[in-house]
Amino acid sequence: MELFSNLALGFSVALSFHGLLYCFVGVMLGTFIGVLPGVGPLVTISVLLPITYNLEPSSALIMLAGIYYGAQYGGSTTAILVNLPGESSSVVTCLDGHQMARRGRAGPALAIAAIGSFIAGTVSNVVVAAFAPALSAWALNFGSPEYFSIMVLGLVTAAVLSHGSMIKAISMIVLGLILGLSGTDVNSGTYRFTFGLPELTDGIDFVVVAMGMFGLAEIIANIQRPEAREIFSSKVSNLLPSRADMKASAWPIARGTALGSILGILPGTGTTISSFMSYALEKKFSRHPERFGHGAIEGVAGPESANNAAAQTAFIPTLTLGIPHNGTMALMLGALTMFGIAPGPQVMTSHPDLFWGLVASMWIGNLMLLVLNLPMLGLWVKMLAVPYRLLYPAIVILSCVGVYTLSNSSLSVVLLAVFGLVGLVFVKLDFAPAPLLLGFILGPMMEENLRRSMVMSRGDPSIFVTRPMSVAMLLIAAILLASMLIPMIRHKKEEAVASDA
Amino acid sequence: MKTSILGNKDFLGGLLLVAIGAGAAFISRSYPMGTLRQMGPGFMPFSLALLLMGLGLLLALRAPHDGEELEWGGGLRPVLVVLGAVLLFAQVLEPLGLVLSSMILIIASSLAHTPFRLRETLLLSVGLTVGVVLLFAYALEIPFALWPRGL
Amino acid sequence: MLKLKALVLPLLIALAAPAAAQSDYPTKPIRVVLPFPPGGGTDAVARLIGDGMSKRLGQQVLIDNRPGAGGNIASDLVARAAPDGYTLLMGFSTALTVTPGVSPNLTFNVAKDFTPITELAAGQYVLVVHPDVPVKNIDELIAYAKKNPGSLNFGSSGTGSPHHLAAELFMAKTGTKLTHLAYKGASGSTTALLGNEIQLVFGSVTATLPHIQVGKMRPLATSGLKRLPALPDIPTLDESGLKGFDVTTWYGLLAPAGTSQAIVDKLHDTAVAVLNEEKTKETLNSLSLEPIGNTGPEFGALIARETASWAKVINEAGIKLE
Repeated sequence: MELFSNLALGFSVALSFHGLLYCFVGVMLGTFIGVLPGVGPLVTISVLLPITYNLEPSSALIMLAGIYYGAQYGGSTTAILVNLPGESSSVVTCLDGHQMARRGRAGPALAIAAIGSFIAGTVSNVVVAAFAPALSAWALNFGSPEYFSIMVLGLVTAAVLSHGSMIKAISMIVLGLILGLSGTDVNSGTYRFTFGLPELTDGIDFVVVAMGMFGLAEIIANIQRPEAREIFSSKVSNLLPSRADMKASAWPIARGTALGSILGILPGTGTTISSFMSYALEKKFSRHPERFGHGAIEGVAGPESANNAAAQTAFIPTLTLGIPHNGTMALMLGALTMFGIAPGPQVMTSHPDLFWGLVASMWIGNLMLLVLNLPMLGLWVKMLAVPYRLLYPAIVILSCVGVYTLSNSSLSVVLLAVFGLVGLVFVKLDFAPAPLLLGFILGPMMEENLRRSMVMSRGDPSIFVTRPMSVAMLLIAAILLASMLIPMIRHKKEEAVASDA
Repeated sequence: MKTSILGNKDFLGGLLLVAIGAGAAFISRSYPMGTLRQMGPGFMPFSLALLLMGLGLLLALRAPHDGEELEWGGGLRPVLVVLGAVLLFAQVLEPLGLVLSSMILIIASSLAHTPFRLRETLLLSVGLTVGVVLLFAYALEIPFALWPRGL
Repeated sequence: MLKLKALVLPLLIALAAPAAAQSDYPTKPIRVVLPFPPGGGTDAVARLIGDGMSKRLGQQVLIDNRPGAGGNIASDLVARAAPDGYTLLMGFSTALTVTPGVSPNLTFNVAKDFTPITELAAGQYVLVVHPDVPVKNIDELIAYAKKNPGSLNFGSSGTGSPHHLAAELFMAKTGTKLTHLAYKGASGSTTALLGNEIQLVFGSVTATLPHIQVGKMRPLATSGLKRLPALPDIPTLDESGLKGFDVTTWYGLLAPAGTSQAIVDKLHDTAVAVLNEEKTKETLNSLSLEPIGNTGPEFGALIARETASWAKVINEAGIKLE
């Protein structure tokens, strides 16, 4: 078996002293960076890049990858503890994870996130090892129309996210799409919604919107309700998930892993959508969907598994085609170029130690994250016992400085305050912010793919329903939409009948 | 249940959406619309803005039936103080440098909480500022001015 | 009231403080603004040269990625920056020679607002097609495109990007009609070509070479006047019958106008010294770029020359840029 000899090679690289050391350093740095609000792996990796030139290419890649997925892991911790989503995938974790924390169940929430991530990481790693070339070939079938359709599907699932009015959820998605379009139009170079501010020509950073609408708004709301602050310090039941928790999480973890492994392969789109879709899926499958948004452990287990699985399979196009997914991966490929290794389809054959060493180290890194973080649960939970009057200024200062460093611009800090206010107003009016964030991320990508599709079809919209994968996704979206609308209408009717009687 | 429409969450929310949509439509009206085949930069924002206005209208119209009454709980002090502190930080960061502006932000945002404890807040601001400087300016090598310009 | 005073007092002090005097340049980190997102060949070049310069200058050289608007965002930022040598532009050919000419409400003027320091490196594009397109050379491509007008899609990283202009120039010179699809960033069009969503692209050597080597892209010609060392069998477009077709790209260092000559000279000498290092040459070669390192005025003349020739191409070929 070629796979086993390859894996043996991989583990020999990853389990070497240097492999383990740099994996550990990367994972620790990543977790630390991820926990801090507003500091992402991108800035960390760019700072470390010159240092990595002195390392072996495989050590450098292992360390940089460790920072990347360690940061994702750390981000979930912050999302659960203080409702601050540092990146798109942790937005969903906030919904139920933070609610669990408020109910004294921060320990189980963090633990299930760690366990789910580890299981998802293990499975998706096998996927990467066994099917990377096949999957990257499959991903190439995804053209602009398919991307557009999968984003439509993603947006429809986002409507499921919020409890309450569908119209409100859809409104928030549309508002998010509009906000996402601000900046420079790729097709024409036109500046849109920049209000004459040159800083806005790059668009608004996702982190600013997320931290404003979730983090800052949450802080203000907490100070407004003195009684709510005490919940944190109330008695913490237990640190580890109970047997019932584990049972409830088993299927969500499995489904999230499958979903994330598949979607992660699609550059840019997949990682974001997978956690949103997983959440919607669990809510649909649950016998008690009304618990979602109030601390349902499935709502943490599923999306966390999905986003970690996606984070691993996202390496497939990067490694097999040399095409980066996001800024962080682009930097990692840049590092390879500096070592004289041209990233591309040959890397797997010309530098097998690099490819398989990375695959093996990703599994070891996931194991390290689990082993390191379970004992730290108690520490994190204790952090919540710090009086809120001391905790919140720390969150505010870290958020403000972190946001400033995104583009070294004070305007980002001003926007943080603006989106904090926007978040407060919308929450007061019963609008959920999560759908807005998904719309915000997908807005520009959706427009780009829509416009390209229409050019490709020479102006014929039927392109979306004549391509099999595209039509399949639109159909799923339609079914999902119908399954949400029909019970709502029926419910309304029953309500009307009841009030007549 | 039925109270003044002006205190209705859905009615107010709907109006807000209509206003935002109208603003967005007004701005995107100046971008070229293009054709279905060659969509211009105005196509998406304008269509979405109209859609948002429609949704807002629908929400406002259904408000008497669906909407709940808005509760003004909580008081304005935390809102004004925290947002004000963040805005102040944005203004002073570049001229005053990281150290002073961090301390200003921490002290100012602490004012949101009653009762205000001076000693504790001062200690907190010193401790957090040291942490922020070590983390961002030294560990992450972000080019911050630490002190006011000209010093 | 005491608290308010404590807030206002430092503000007043700050306002009264005089601007810092510059003497031993550089005394703080230098920011090099790059009109591209992180990753990719250009970013690597900037970081490589930035790293080398920072070792020689004893100050950090920070790479500030400001992509967007065909480079106008980065140019505008540097044009408005203080001419103190702490904010520099990593200029990219068309971002300086084409985009400003076609952008409305431009807030800067390339000739007036910048002091060219030196041209760092130059490279060219490879015209590649998807292997399913039944053409082996430029003549066949032209014949195929004429027989099937508008059916071939070409990709670019945005209107006015060099990939787009090179294709527009190709159409104008050959009388063919190709359909343009814009992608955000070069990685989008690489994926699209591999997936046959677009059939041809003028791609950078780094983005195409790995795929050419495994047969997933077919090179037809290169865009400069000299053949590429990495692809010695592939003719230039000029050799293939399109006389005078010469599209190259270059990267160069510029300072805001008004920067003192002493600082410009110091930066020039440092950059050229870095270019002469063996390690730099090797890395540039691996990216299929040629190290240049000319003088500031020579670099300025290049910008002026190419600005004029692109304007002519855009006019004559009737290229429409929104």
